[in-house]
Amino acid sequence: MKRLWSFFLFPLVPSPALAATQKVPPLRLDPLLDRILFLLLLWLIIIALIVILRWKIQLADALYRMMPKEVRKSEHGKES
Amino acid sequence: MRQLRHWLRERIELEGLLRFLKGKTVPHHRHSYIYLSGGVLLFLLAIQVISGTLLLAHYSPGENTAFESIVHLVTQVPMGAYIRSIHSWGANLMVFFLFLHLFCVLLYKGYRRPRELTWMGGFLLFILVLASGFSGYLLPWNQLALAATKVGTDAPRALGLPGIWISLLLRGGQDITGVTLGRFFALHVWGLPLLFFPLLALHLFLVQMQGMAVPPSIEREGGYGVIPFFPNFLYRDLVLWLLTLGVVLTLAVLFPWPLGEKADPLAPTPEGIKPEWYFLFLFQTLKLFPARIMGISGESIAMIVILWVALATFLYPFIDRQAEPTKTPLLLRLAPYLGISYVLFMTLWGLLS
Repeated sequence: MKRLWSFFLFPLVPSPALAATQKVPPLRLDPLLDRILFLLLLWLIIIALIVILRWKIQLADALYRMMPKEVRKSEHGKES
Repeated sequence: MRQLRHWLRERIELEGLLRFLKGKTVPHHRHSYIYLSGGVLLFLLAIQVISGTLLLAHYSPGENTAFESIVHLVTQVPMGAYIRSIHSWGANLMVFFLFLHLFCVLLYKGYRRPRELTWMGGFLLFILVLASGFSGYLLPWNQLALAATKVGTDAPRALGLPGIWISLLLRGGQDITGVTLGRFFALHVWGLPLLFFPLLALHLFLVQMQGMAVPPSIEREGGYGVIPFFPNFLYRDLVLWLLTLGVVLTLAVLFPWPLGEKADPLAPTPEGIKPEWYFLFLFQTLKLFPARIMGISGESIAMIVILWVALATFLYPFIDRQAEPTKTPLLLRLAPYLGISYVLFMTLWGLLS
């Protein structure tokens, strides 16, 4: 979060004087391990959310099927 | 929350909109997955707008500042390299899904009456997205971008005077200079979005008014139902959006978008230069034509053919007007398959050659 905030704190046009004060060496990206850990965490969260969504889809479909035809028609215009 | 809803209801007539959203349905059949391609495009557009706005905070257009500001962004700015990679990969995925969306609509005849305007608006949006990709490609001001823009802005010259005028207008002169960069920047962040967003609003409005098209084969069988858009279909959309977000972030983290070397207008064009993958089918088409055909420049003929095919695609709902596919002439029935095969084959050929 600190990194995200600091994104906005840099000036619009890079000045050599400012660049000289930065301690990050040129073209340095995060170490590979950091990136892999980030991706593992990201996909873990995505898979967990998809599992929840799958369950929500099944529930929503079942509720819609259980609806009496007249209610479906009045609420959604068409019936399944 | 209830108080806020009450406060809003007192001031804005939301009942009609809420009733519409509650009543909105999506056809449910074995090819329902095709309806997800439009939603994922909107999601990718949101990623592009957000990452593009963040990039704007650090990008400085200009012959002597553009490349330097990108170097500064990727080397000094926290998360700058990732934001840039997300924008670049997001753009590529957006074009990929746009092709997929267009192919789906074409194959499932989603352009049939009364959806002619939706198709035409969608096709113009497709052209604007390609133009956005082309204009954005020059902005890092690296050698590869300069060469690709030179080839791209040279192509219209084959059309004679109007083409030369377009080329001069885009370049702001005979050569690609800082003026061209300024024009491409203005087009990318302001000019093209100014056309894109109203057209997108119209496209979405028409989709909402007319509902999703059902493929003719499913229509003939008659055995399809509907599901509510909210929440049933929205949940399905969210699954694909999450997967897309995962793919964009994975690509951005594992394969940072290359920086290249600073553009030098005096340096020779690099050997074997190719455009971005989504322009390869056009590039290969231009290469297919011989230098001269009956005394006329082959490139000019190729450009005219490309323009006619684009116009025919734009007006396709009026060419293929038959609602019943079995009554459609054989050539028209085969045309979408031939067109899609041609684009895929030429792109693959361009990538492998």
